[in-house]
Amino acid sequence: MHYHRHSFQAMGSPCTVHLYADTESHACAVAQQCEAEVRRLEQKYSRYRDDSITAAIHASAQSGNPFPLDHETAALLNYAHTAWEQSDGLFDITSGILRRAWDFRSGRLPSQQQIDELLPRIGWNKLHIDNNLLHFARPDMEIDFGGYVKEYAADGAAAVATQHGIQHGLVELGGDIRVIGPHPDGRPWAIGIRHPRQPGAILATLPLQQGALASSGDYERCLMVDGQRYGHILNPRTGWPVRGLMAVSVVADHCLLAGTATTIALLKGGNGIDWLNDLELPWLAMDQNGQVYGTLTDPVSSAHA
Amino acid sequence: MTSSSKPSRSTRLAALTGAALTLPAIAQLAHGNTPTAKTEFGYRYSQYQEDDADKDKVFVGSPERYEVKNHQFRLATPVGDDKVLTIDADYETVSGASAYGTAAGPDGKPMLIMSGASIDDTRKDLLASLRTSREDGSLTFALGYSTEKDYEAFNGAVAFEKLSADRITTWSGGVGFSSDTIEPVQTDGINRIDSDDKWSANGFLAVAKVLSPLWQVQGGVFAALWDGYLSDPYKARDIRPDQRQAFGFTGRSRYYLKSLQAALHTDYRFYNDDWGIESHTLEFSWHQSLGDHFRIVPMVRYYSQSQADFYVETDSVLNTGNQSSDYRLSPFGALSWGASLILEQPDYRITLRGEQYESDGDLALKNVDVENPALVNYTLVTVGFDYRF
Amino acid sequence: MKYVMLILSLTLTACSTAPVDSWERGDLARTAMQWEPDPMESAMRSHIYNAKEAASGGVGTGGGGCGCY
Repeated sequence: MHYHRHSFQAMGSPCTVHLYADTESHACAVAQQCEAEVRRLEQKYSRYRDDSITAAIHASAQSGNPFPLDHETAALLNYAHTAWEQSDGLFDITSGILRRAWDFRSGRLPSQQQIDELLPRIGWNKLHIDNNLLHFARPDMEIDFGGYVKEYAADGAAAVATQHGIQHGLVELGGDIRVIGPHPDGRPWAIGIRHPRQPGAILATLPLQQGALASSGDYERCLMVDGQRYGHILNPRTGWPVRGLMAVSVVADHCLLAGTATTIALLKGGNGIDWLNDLELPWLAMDQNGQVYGTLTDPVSSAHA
Repeated sequence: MTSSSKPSRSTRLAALTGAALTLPAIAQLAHGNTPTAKTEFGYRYSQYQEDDADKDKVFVGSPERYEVKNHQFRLATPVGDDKVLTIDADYETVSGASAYGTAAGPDGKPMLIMSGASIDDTRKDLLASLRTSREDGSLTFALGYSTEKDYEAFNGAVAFEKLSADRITTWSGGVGFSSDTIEPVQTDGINRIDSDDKWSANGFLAVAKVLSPLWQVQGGVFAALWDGYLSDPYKARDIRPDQRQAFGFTGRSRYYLKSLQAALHTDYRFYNDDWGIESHTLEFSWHQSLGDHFRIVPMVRYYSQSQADFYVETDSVLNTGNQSSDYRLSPFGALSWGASLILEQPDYRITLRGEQYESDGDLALKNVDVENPALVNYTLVTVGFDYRF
Repeated sequence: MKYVMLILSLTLTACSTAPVDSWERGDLARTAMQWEPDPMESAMRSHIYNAKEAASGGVGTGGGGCGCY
């Protein structure tokens, strides 16, 4: 059985597909299909492209017309609605508009006035879906699939590989992982969870046979102003970064679920650990003081790997 | 006391999972529209050799006993998205002699009368089964045919497996049926029947549970019924009831010892039938991984049975009614031990296996006064090759 | 029948356990942890035991006409 590794850049992240197949050419062809699936979703849901569904939705909102949804987009919005409900309104895909105030590359904080102008344009409950038509209460609202489409793409790429007969492999999109199947001899994949503050250091190693692992933290993008750290996870109600856990990793059956669980855990701020315990999924988190919590494999004993 | 309406823990995950499952890619992965599994081909060559009968215990005939050479072939191939068709073919040659009776020896102890002519027979066996898998279980239909010089059997079976939603509990069950015809090769001095038949039915029901990430157990019950000609036509005097009913239960455990990279298998079976036979079987095997590709599997098995109500130590024309001196109906115990060495590669597997079996009156759980002289000891050696493509 | 009830009640009540999730099943999925890791070997061995011993049958057996040697 041939091992094949295929790396590419998509969705703003380094991506790698690891596959085992009978022949090198089969592995290579399937890896290309996996990449194509990620690129399809990137193109369809990108907020940067004029030809994306996202752009079409915004145009439709501005014109005041309802937007007809395809099956996949309707399912993604239905999922966003469920996550919004289950997070008590914290997971809100209309909050991406705050990026207009928060420029994490600029090194400057936004003014409260800038944020206050944006807040009325946020709120999942201000739009509704009826008979597969999406209606906006205001023409200046936006939606952003960026908060969960990467995790969904990891599941999608794994599904493509499975359809092509691959039983052993792994898809990694910018640190979010979906296992296709264990190594051919049944061994699990050894997955390192990186340390949020020490570049290159591993916080824990997790053997993963099936399922998915997603990680998120304030290390991804942040602003440092006057020694104060402003992470990229923004509370949709206040418009300000959440102060809570520094990093979270969650294991679930699907990468989408794992990713949503980590995002909401960060959004919950000081209640993040309660949220993780409530979910009953295996998790690992580090708080602002560097204290490690969680139900995943004992981080101390496995840190050597 | 607060009566907070906060959703309970599992409902949050269940709500998210439910929404995720409406997404095409996730639905596909979750429903395991999986992988056309691969086609697998397996071959085993086994050589079975019985030790010679104890010369002191042979009254008439040669002490040489059976030798069997067996070729097993298996082809399992996916059919459509959710089905696997498995064809098992067996080809077996048997040569040697068997006991056709037991007589009282000079000291009053039973002695064997061996069949004079050496037996040479070939058994061909074909079994086709079609298994349909779903996310939460499977259904299997099987049909088989078996033939020998003097014997012909048709059989069929249906079996199911059903997993609980959390995949912790697996129920399984099945029923099987067999219709057999025997036309004995006539032997001078016996010629008791020209042809006769029997049928049998069996069924089982089992439940398995995953107790931890390292341990699963299974408990089951089974029953069987035979009806028709159940005697041995090659024995000088062998008259058995024309019905037999059996039931039993089994318990199995599979435990993984992570630090040793080994799996401990424990299998127990209790068997009881209305011929008065009760038996216990206990087997342990230790599946030890050696590196990434080798496994070594030592095993030991203990078996004990009580005698049938109509078992007789020696044949006698004076006996009336049901009677048999067949060692298989006598009280005895047996111990076997062996080991397999397995080389496992992604697309093929090589297996070597040896087993030594010894039966003895003294090994029985209960005291046996007079041991049947025909109890066998044998050696079984198997080489096997499996290929996936 | 007494035995039947006993074994079923044992297996059903004795083990109310925490769920074991899919990502924890790596070791259970090993070949060495299957009920019958080598079905051809199991078939061969039960064929011989059934021919040499009075007891036969069990869980997972289907069909099987046997001319005994």
